[in-house]
Amino acid sequence: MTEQTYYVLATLLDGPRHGYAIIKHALELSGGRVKLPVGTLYGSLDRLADQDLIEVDHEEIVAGRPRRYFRLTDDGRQAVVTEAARMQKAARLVLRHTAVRTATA
Amino acid sequence: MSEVLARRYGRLVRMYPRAYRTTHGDEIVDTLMAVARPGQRRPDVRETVALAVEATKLRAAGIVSGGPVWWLDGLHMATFLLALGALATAVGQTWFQGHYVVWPVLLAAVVVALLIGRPWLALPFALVAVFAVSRLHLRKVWPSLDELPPFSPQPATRAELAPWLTLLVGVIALGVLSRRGKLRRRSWWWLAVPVAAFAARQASIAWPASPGWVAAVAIGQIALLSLALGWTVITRDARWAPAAVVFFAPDAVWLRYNRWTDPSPLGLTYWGIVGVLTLAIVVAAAWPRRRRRPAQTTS
Repeated sequence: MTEQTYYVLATLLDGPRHGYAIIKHALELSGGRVKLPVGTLYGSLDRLADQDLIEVDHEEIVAGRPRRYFRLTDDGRQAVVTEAARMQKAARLVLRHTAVRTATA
Repeated sequence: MSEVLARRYGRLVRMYPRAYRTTHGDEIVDTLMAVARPGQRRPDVRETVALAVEATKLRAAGIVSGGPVWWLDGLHMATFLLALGALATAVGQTWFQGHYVVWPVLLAAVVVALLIGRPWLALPFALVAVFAVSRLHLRKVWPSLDELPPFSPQPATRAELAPWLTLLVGVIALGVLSRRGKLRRRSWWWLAVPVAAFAARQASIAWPASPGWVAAVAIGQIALLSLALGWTVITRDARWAPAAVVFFAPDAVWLRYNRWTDPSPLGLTYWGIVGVLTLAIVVAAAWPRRRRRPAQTTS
C-alpha cells in the first residue's frame, strides 16, 4: 500500500468525506507532509473504488457542481487496519532495539 | 472564486476522456478551486502535472481495454512503422516514375492493410516488395531475373535487406498470432507522415538522403521514442517496448554489418540516444507496476 493510499483510506475512518475534505484531512493527519494533488486524488479514489476498498456514500450538488462523498467498505477498513498493524510491528522492532541500546548505554 | 482560474482549470480538465470529463469534470474543477490560494489566477504546476498524468492513464486504459495482448499490439506497431517509413521514403524520392510508380503503390497497400489490422491482406504485397528489393541477391541463384525490369530500390548489401525481412517476418507473425483476435485499427493520421514526405519533395525542401530529410527522420524518431517512454512510464502500457525493439533491430543489424564505418559524432549521438531511449522503454515496461512504499506516521 502506498503512503498516499494509506492516508486516503485513513481519512475515511471517521466517516464519509468529499474530495477536498480528504485532501485537507490527509494534510492534517500527516503533519503537512502528504499534500495530494487533486488529479492524483481522484485517480486514486477511482482505483480504490475499483478494488472495492471505498464506495460512494452519497452525492450533493453544491453551487451547481456535483460533490461525491466517499466511505470505506469493510474491505477498505480491513486493509488500512492491517497496514497500520504491519507498520506498528515494523516500528516496534526498531524502537525496541533502540530502547535496549539506550538502557545499556 | 476566480472565474479566470476556474476557466483555466476547466480547459486543463479537457485532457481527460470525454465520458469521464462529463461525469466528473465539474467536481474536479470545484475541488481545484477549493485548494487554490486566495487571488490565484494561474493553474498550479503540480496540479497541472497531476491532471495530465491521470488523464493520460485514463486515456491509456481506454485505448488498451478490449485491444489485443500488449506484445502483439507492439509487434503490430513496429511492423506498421517499418512499412510507413518505407512508404515515406518511397514517396519522397523523385525517381519513382514510369513503371517505378508501382513501388510506392505496393508499399501503400502494405501500409493500409496493416493500418486496418489485416496482415494477411498485407502479405502478398509485402512478399512482392521483399522479392523486388532482393533482386540483386536472388539473381545469383536465379539468373533469369535479369529479364524482369526492376521497379524498386536495389540494395547492394545483405544488411540493407534487414528492414525488409523484418517487415515480412512481422507481417507473417501478425497473421499467425492474430488468428484468435483482431488487431487494432491504427489511426489514419499516421498517413500524414508519407503525405509530409511527398509535400517536402514537391516543395524541394527535403528528399531521402538529403541533410534535411536525415535530420527530420532522426528528430521524428527521437521525439516518438521520447513520447513512447513518457507514455510507458505514466501508464505502464508495455506495448511500446516490443515496438521499439523490433523497429530498431534491423538498424542494429546494419550497424553491426558496417562495423560502425561512419562513426561521426552526430551519428554516434543519434544511436546513443536511440539506444538509451529504447532501453529505458524496456526497463519502464518491465518495472513493477506499483512500487511499495511504506507509509509514515506522524507522532
